[in-house]
Amino acid sequence: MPEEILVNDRVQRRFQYRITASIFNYHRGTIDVLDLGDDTCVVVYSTDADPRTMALTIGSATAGALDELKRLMDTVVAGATP
Amino acid sequence: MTRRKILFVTTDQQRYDTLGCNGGNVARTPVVDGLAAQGVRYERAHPQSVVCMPSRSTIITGQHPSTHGVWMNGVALPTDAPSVATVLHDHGYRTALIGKPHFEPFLDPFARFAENRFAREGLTGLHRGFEHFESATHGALGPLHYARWLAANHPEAVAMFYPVLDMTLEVNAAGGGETGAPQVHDNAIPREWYHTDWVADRTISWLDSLGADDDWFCWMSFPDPHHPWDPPASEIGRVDWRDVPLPAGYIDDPARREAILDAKPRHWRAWYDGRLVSNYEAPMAWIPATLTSNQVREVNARNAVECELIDEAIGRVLAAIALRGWSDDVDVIFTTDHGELQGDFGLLFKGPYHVDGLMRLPLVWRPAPSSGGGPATVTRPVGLVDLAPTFCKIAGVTAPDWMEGRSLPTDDADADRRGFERVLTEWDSELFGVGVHLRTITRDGWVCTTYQPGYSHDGTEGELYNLADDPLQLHNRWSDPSLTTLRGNLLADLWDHQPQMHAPLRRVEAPV
Repeated sequence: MPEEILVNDRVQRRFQYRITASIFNYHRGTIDVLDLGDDTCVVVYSTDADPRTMALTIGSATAGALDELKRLMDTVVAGATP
Repeated sequence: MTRRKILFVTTDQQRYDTLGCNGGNVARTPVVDGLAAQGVRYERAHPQSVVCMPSRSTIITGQHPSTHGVWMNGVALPTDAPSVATVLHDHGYRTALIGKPHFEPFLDPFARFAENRFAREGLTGLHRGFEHFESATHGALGPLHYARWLAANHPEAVAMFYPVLDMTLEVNAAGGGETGAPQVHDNAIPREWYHTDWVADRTISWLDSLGADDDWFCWMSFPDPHHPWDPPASEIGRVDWRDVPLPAGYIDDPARREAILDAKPRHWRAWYDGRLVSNYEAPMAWIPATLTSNQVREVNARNAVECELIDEAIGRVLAAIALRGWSDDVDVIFTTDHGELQGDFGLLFKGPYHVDGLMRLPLVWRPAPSSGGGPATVTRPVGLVDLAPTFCKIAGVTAPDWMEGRSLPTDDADADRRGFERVLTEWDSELFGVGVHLRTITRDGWVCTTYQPGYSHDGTEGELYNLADDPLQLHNRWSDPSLTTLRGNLLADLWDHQPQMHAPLRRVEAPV
């Protein structure tokens, strides 16, 4: 699925991209990492898509990505614990 | 000593009354009729869901949708979910699934699901206990084995099929044929390239690869007669739509039809009027009230052609089995995953509507002639949930505890002895803000459906039909005061036997 990076801002911790495949009329995916100041963070992955059927499909893929990211981060943290 | 071999044949979205042995008078189905004459014909077989993914997940797991967790189309059955094919494979059976699987979403642009990656990666097994897995669906698009075979060998045929989805990826409403009926299309593909014959060809090829003494379980899964109704144009002349009688459930007078719909829960009439399409399986842009009687005839004609092609394909496979000398030792079970409204109440397709058009299924079990079983008819309620334990029984394997069904009864006396009293059917959907939730029990000649709170319902609605007096389910007696006690008893029995919904609720991954 061809994609184009729109924003990759290390200061804002924001990554934004769009899928350019013709199956989408419109797509924006945005990932924000919010520092909670206690060595933890919240990742917000938001998606806008048209048509709505693709919004549903990409929504579930996004949820899957967040699940995997959490699993990965938990594994790293667990691995670092003495 | 060899064990009994199992040919399990499914179609997709086929009504009970499309078979000659069940009173059908449009399609000629002599092969399945012949199996029924030698075996057991079930008159009240119900699915546990009236859409593909939950129903097929019930077939493979032997569990109700609430238990296996595939609560609507678009929810994936985990690849490590229980599978009767795994049980049989672990007991030495050679196993195959050839044709339509649909345990995982088809709409999968990111190739997240194994079912869709298989053909792309050139694999044919092992998957869900099937050592051989070759997949197909209703057309030539997508990543499945049939689509890739057609694109590689007959690329000019790919565009001949009806596009199941429109440009917005909704189910296509475009009409065709001579009446403009939705999802009817003239398909120029030669018959021998069509998916029905491909499924039979691939099944014969796999059977030919087996050793003479192998025990085998083969699930041959035809994508038809599910819409689109686009069989090879060369075959359309078999059934002239002008000669097709209107189905008994089609109510010609619009005023009477609408009065009957008005007596059902409100989403029936809302769909008919084009005010609410509550599920993805029906075209968003199609308004059922516009359906003409001639369109119903043409849909039924095309459907009958597809049923005939399937029947002939099964005949070819049985002939191949005979050539191997296996006929006496093969059990054949024929059924489908759910029905089709096909003109009943002026409606087509499927959705949250628990009536016979969608729930009463063709089911025929021809036991291996060497087993000595005689012909019988079973009128007691059974379900697709009973198939997996039936396969185990045929194979001489103890059904695992996770299976919720029981092996199918061989006659009514057997059914009574083993307490086949009820069958349950569930509907849940939450799509684009529209939620619909139904629970249905069929027992003692009644069908009782209770609606849980959702987009159109407040939880007080329901449907109650007497199958003996009202076989077409025209008169909803849910609010009949003389039936209050009966209704209460049926609902109490329903909730006593309805499994709890799988927790956590599985995620909806796609619309289908």
